[in-house]
Amino acid sequence: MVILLFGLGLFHLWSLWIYQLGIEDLLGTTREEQLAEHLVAVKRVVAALPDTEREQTAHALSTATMEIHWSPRSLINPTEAESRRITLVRRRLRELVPELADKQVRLAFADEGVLRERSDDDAFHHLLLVSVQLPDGSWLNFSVSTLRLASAPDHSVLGSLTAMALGILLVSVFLVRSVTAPLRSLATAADRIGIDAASPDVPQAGPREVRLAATAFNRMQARIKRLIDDRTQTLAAVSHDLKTPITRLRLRAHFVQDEELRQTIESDLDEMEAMIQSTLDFLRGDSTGEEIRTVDIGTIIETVCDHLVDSGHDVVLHAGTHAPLSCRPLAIKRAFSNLVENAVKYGTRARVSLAKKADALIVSIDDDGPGIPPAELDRVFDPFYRLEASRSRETGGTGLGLTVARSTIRAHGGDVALANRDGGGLSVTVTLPVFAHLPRGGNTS
Amino acid sequence: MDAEAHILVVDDDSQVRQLIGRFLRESGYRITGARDGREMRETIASADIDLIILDLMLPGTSGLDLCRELRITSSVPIIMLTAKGEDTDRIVGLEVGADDYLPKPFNPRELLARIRAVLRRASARHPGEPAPRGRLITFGGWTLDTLRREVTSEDGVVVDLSGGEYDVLIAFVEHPNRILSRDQLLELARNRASNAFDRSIDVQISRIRRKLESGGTSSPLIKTVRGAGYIFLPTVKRC
Repeated sequence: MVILLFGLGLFHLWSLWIYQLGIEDLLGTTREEQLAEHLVAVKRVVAALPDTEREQTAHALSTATMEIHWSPRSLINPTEAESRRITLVRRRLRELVPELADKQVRLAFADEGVLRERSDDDAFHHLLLVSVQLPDGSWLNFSVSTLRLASAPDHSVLGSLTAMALGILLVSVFLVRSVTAPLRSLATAADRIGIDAASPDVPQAGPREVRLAATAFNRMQARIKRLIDDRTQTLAAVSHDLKTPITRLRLRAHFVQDEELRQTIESDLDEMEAMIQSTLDFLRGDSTGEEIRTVDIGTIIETVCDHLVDSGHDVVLHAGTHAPLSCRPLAIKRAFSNLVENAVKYGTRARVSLAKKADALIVSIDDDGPGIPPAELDRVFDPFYRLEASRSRETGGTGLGLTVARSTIRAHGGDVALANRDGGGLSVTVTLPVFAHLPRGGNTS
Repeated sequence: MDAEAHILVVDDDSQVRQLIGRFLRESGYRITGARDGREMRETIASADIDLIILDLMLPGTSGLDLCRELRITSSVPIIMLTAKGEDTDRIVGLEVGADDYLPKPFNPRELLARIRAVLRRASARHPGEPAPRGRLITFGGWTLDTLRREVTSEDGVVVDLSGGEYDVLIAFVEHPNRILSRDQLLELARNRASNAFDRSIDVQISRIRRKLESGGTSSPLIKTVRGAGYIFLPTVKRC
């Protein structure tokens, strides 16, 4: 785009320059012819006059651009080496008026030192001096300002050329845009694919090549989506099918006589079940068919905390806040359950509070654990990511709890923020907008 | 009377069928297995069945369709089993007439508790009398949905209750304006067979109060009667 504009601009300047040269050339030729004719005519007239009338007549024959005087001697001293400019003028004169033999004509520009005055002025540079010898040896001195005509450029021509160039520029900008816009949307779509696997197809618009690229891109996207879906379904099916053998194992475990062994088998089964459940939660993602309902979020958080208290965990809830929220209740409950469970798992005890703001609900979950190294604060949300300390067997977990919690809360228009508190311990802040627009889906029985 | 109950287990997984059978026989029940709808119908035609444990995913006719079919002619108690474990499945299962619902994998002890509760409720009814169909119950501005097992406020806000809280609340709702002792409440709640009995009745009641009474405008629901137990104050209407 930039290259194109630069090229067009350069081309425009170049053609303007060529055009200007052409005009100057034409004007120059015309002026040389006039000068030559005039020289010859004045020479003949003055030569035919007596000496006393010569100066007066010569002066009277001056024109707007040419001053003529008669004098017994030449204004120009004869020079050995003529400048290149003079040679060119002399050659032109000789072509036009052969009767002006070289010896009879002396030529010089005013700035070439023939006058004993300051000669570096622009005016002198353009002042051509011509001395023509009459048959009796006296001289006619012409001084011609060479560029007066040529230095009046044609503004209208320049204007129309520039207007045309601007027109071309506008049209090409428009054309370039119409070609590149579909390319740009293709690039945006390609960028989005990593973030959102369900991104819509790229529109097939624009020139043929771009349309072909868009079609190929859409086909590729469909293939990737199918691949992801296949894998997701496989994983979900495996997780799901594991439920039957676990059911059998649970029943079998009941027949184990050794009480201690039975309890360890049952706790292993609990762990397996939790892993399968969180994997299924993760795979289900936002596509859950759960109905959207208005729920008192305060009671959901109370249920979550009470459940953990009943399982022997240290959870303190600043309860009694009631706040209706339009949401998918089971998903939200699971999200808070994951967050508070994490707090008691890694931070020994959890303090949970709910605050109502004008347009959002703020849920804070503080724990007394070691916190999270600042560099890892964002990574803990990655699927299957676990801090080094949590890889031990006793804490267990699949590394999906935070991932599921955040994606659920984000699907509700909110967000989860983690921060290490000054006094130690991690602080999890959940923000949920009260009036979030939730895409409807699933059944509404 | 439990000991003589005849339970039909309908599951296409033969091992699950055998294991449930062995487990329940140890608890004193008579067990017959069926692998699909056809075998189920044959068994029902030839024997008296007191309770059916029905898997949702069956080859041929699904558990849901079988349940619907059974309900046309019979009020035999049904407990649905499913590996799906989605809440919507539970509601659909209860809507087609199942008495209870248990997601796989389940704890055998919980299955036993639910079987007992469902059988006790069924025997409390007069023979031939259909199960109470009133799905919605209102009290003090709240509406209780017995299928969804949830309570909503007048402006439609759902109050989240744990299983144990729901069981205690429904015990109150079914026996309003009567003093109920802790033991009576525990017994009534056990009939619902939720998995959270371990918390004392007092804790459950304080949690229900926190969730339903602190709304501000609503009047107190449950009153403590010193030395006797609790009484549920509001008027209850079934619809």
